[in-house]
Formats: sequence, structure tokens, C-alpha cells
Amino acid sequence: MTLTSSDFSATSKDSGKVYLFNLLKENLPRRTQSELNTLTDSTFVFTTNARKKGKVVRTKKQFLTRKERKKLNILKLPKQDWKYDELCEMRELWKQYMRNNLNLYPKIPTWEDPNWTNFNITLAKSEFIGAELTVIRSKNVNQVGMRGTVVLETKATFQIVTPKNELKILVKKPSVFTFTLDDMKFTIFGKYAIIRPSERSIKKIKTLLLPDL
Amino acid sequence: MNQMIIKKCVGKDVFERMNYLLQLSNLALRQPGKDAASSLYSHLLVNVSQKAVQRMEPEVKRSICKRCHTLMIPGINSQIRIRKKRLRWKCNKCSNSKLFKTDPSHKLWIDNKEAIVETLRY
Ligand SMILES: [Zn+2]
Repeated sequence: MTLTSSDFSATSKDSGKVYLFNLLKENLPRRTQSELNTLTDSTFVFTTNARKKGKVVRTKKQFLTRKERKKLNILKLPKQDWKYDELCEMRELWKQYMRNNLNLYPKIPTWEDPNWTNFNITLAKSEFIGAELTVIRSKNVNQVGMRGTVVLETKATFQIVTPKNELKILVKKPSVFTFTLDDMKFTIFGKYAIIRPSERSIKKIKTLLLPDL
Repeated sequence: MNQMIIKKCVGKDVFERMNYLLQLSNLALRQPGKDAASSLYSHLLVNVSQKAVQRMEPEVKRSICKRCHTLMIPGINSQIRIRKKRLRWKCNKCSNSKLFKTDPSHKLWIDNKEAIVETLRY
């Protein structure tokens, strides 16, 4: 590994050299510091700190597998012991976050606005944990009219806690959801929301004016 | 004018989302019997940060366990001790521990003056 200081000096001769010298002085280990004095205009060779070829250092594995997560009880939510009243703080936080994120004030955008699509994309990329969802249409008849706070979102489901203190798992695909924020009403077509929540914030979203059901 | 500022700050919505998830995780940890939920939220936080390539501040990053992605708060679900002249954070969930330097001359890059190039306010 060689580093030629004359490359840097083309534009600003002295300041580049001083910067390089300081950078090396800060970052090199102590035993190589004495070699710094031999730094001249031409080259400086890092030899003492170089690793020998052919030796691969193995790092210890850090992340947990799915099985291990299950063993530690952090893969799924518990089914019992949910209280609807305890989640009110979460709902308040969500409202604050949404108002901030959508930049609602001082004015609420309408569909004629030039940045209407922008507004929609921001909405689709935001977080739904903490929202108050209602199912308005579903192929599963039992779930129509169900209301509750979202506690977890996965690729295919919303998990909500109803006012009767039950954890319910709603499948996204055959359902249509609504939620309200202040005096605005939003509708989510579950069919178009099938995506992992972590990937949602970077995914490019197509705007469909007429959703097919 | 308002539109200009939003365009300038790249990844604002991602940062808002990450901030909200951190708050949620903190909130859930302080309520009894919700440590699984808290862990899931902070796991989502790490995933969002990795997918969108928007980094967390070192202080925040260090407070999340590297192994099981649980938010660690000393006294509630983690342990901080000084052993062998090093600071040791231990996660009570997966019993993974991290070691930090106690050298006072050791400085993070973000504390340098050169690190801050521009501050945006919006
Ligand atoms: Zn851990």
C-alpha cells in the first residue's frame, strides 16, 4: 500500500500535506508513529501494520436467527394481557407524529394541489403502529366493522387490540381499512399494502387514481 | 418556500419514522408485560435504518443491543459495570455484552468540530 503525497499537492501544496500529516498522526497506531518523521514528498509505505495474505479472520456471528428469536419470546406478541386503555398514550403519540410528518398545518392539501402526489407518497411511507383502524369492507364477514389500535404490522397482517381487550389478527389482502386524523378520513386498500413494513420507506410507490377492487 | 425546504432535507420522513419508533419502544418498555412489543419496535427501527441507509447517532445506536435489537435502558433491562478498566453493557434478554473504552482522550468523530458541515433547520 503506497500513498503519494504529491497527488494532493497539485492544488494547494502545503495545506494538503499538513492535513494528511495530521490525519495520519491521529489514526495510526502508536508503534508506527515514529515512522511518520520519515514522511517526505514522494512516498510513504505502510508495512508494519499490514496483514499477511491468506489469513482470514473470522468474526463472531452477532445476529439472531428466527428460531432463537422465538426462544427468547421476541418474535410474536403475547395473546393475553392487553389493555385498550393503556394504549391511549400511544394513540396520542401517533397523532402528533402524523401531524408533523404530513406537514398538515398551516393548510390541508386538496386533490387539486400541485404536491398532492407528494402528499400521498409521504402518507404511504409513514408508520401505522398506533393508528386507530376500522375495517369497512372485507371478504371475511366476521371482521367487518372491527375497530382497534394497531400494535404490530407484518407483511400480510395488521394486529390490533380491540376495545374489548382482545388481540386480533387481520389479514390485509381481502380487506379495506379506514382511519381518521382530526377531521380527515383516509382509506387503505389492503391489497396494495402487502409489503414488509421496513421496506415500505424506500419502495417506489406508483400512484393509481382508480383502484381496482 | 415551504416546498423548497422539504426537498432539501433528504430522508426527513424516514427520520420522523425512526424517531417515532424509538419513542414507541421507550414507551412500551415502561409498561409491564410489553417487552416483546418494545423489542419488535426497536427491531423494526434497526431494519428501517438499514434499508433506507439513514444512520442513527452513536448514543442511540449503542443503546440498542447488537444481537437481539432490544432497547437497553440501564436499571430496567440492562446492566452497566466497569470491569478491567472497560465499560460493559450487558443485555438481560440475550445476555450479550458490549465493551467500551474508558480512555478520556478517546473521542468520537461526531464530537469533532470538522464533523458538522451544515445545520439544516426546518
Ligand atoms: Zn440483547
